[in-house]
Amino acid sequence: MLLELKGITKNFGENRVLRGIDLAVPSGSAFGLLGRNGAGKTTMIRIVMEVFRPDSGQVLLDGKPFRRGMLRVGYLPEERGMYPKKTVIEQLIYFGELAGLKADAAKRNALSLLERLGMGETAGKKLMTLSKGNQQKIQFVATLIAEPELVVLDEPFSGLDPVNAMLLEDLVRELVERGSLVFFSSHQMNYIEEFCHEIAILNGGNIVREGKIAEMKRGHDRSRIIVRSPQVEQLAVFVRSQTGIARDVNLEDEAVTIQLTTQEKKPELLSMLAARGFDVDSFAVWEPSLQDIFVDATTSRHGTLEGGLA
Amino acid sequence: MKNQFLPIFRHEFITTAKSKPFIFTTLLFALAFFVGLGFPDFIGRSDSPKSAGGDVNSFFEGIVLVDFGSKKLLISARDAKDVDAQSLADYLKEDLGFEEASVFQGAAQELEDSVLAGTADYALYFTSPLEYTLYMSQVGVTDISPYQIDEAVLAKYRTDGLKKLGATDEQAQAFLTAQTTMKLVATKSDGNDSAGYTYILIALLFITIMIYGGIVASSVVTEKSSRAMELLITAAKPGALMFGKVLGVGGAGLCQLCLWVLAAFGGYRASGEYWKETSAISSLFEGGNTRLLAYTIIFFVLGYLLYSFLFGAVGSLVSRTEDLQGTMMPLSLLLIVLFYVSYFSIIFNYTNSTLIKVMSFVPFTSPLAMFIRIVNNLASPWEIALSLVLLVAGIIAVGALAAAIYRVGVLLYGKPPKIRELVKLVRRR
Repeated sequence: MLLELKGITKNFGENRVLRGIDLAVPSGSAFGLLGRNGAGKTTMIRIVMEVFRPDSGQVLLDGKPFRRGMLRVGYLPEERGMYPKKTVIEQLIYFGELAGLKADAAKRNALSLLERLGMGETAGKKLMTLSKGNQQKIQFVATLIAEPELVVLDEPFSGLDPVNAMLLEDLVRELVERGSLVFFSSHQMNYIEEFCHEIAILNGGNIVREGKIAEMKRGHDRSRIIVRSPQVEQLAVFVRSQTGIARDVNLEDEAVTIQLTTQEKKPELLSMLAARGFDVDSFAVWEPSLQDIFVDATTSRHGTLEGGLA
Repeated sequence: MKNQFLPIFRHEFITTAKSKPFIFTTLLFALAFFVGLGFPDFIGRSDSPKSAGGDVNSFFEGIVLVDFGSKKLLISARDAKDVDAQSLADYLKEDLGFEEASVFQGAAQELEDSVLAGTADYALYFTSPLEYTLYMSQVGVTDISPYQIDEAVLAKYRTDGLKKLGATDEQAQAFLTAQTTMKLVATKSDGNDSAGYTYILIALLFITIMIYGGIVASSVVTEKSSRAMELLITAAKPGALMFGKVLGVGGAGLCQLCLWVLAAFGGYRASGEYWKETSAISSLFEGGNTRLLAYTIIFFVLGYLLYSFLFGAVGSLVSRTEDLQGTMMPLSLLLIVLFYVSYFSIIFNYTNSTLIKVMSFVPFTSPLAMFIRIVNNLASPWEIALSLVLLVAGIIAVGALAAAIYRVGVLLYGKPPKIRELVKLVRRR
């Protein structure tokens, strides 16, 4: 199963929100959608959900125009909210029915999901009597109640304590393993790194970067080395003297950052350190974090990352 | 996907029917109708209301004759030589039961002064046997004492006249107390007193459309302000959401109405013969009115649909419950004006006017206007058919427009848009 967005544009009056989005998301994986506030993520999600019609371009499922009825869809909007004055089970059944389930199937699924999240006893309570974190878990149940094949999660873990977050993470992981197509939008980069192999970064209505996180990290200049050692000071002094290998050496926080003259000098440096008998804890090529990649892609200050990502 | 309407309809129906205010008003009014009609003693009417003149439902039914037992009367015939003031005073005292009726041959001003000073309650100043001035301190709206006095004065004049012609007292009395028995037939109405229940049904149509429309609007706003709309709008088509809500609330409303009618019917039955004489009420419940009952339901359903689509659209434009009243105002005003124009057409009897005729074809006004014309037998079958066709066409058009507004409105947060902005938004979509 492959969901594709082809040349999607959307304007709201003068405001050009999406300027030609091309994306391909395969099932059985979690796809991270990143972007700063107002980048057009929600608009893009709403176009997939058929709430908005794109001005041009189309959404395809396995090459055919996508209609919402073709898949069971689960959506966790960033703006949380359900019916505060209704009981938990009542509204879960309703949302299950809207997603296409029969009432009894919806009830069964709701109860088993509640049970898994340790919320079985809340079924008969009014939503507004629950804590904020628990309300969020109920919303999660509503998203997953119909065993969706396409899941869109907008900031799924915000406002949750680590234990609750873990419970929900397990559910998301299961979804991916079951072959669902998971769209994941978040500002919490650690979650994106954990769940998503592929990401797309949306900025100013365009996709500015897209691909596998690992490749993005590897795809930059690999001539910066970080060495950790109990003997950082002596090590720094030694490497500074090797001008044929190191262009620049910095000592910070129990680690030495070494800028090699060329990437190919890496084995030479490694064997030199070993020959000198330095007690090396770790020897690694510096890789940008996802946060670094995100900031670099979404701000105009290009080149903030030494070694250059652009 | 295909079957979303049904769960939405069921959800809205149950939500409305289970809400506490709804249950409360349902029971309260059902009880009021049942007790009010079934046990009239309870609301303080111990005697069956008497209709003057048999079948004619008198307008004066509720007005009580004045008791003159504590009143004082003065009569002056100073400027009317052929009036026997003393015998008139005796007659009035006897006939109307004044505490005191005496002759005071003063000038008009003197009589007025004595009423002003309170020494007399009524003063009559005659200029000829049939021309006189009546002084009294105040005349209330329902005070019919001047007419009672006038009637007695006239009766005295006639009795005297008859006696002069040689009739005995008894003969004169017999002439004067003779009564006709009249049966009124209005050829253009269906033999009932239509005005009575037209008032009731028009008011019922207006109030229910207003209330249920308001429920639709506020329930949309609640979904928006709780942000449940974010989920709903991605889970279901806006059209299904809107129609499901309008029909769900309307269904609950119709059930409420039916329950009220049943309660009223039960009360009417329980009262036995009590209301039989009051045609405004009995004609609502006695047989032969199924046609009107059917029209009541038809116009309730159609009128409700037309307006609640608009109420739903208005609700979708508002993000906070506090803003709802203001945004609903134009629509509420339209309904109120419509109601009063219709209502006054019955009171001032212009139901057959061009205004009402035109209104009975315009979709927004026809639910009340055409209903009035039907009740008064002023509409021919083809007119009724045309009006209904136009109304249904209007509902379809308004429903489509409302769905378009709704689609745009539910995702707007913040201040409700101005009409011009709204037109732009709807076009853009």
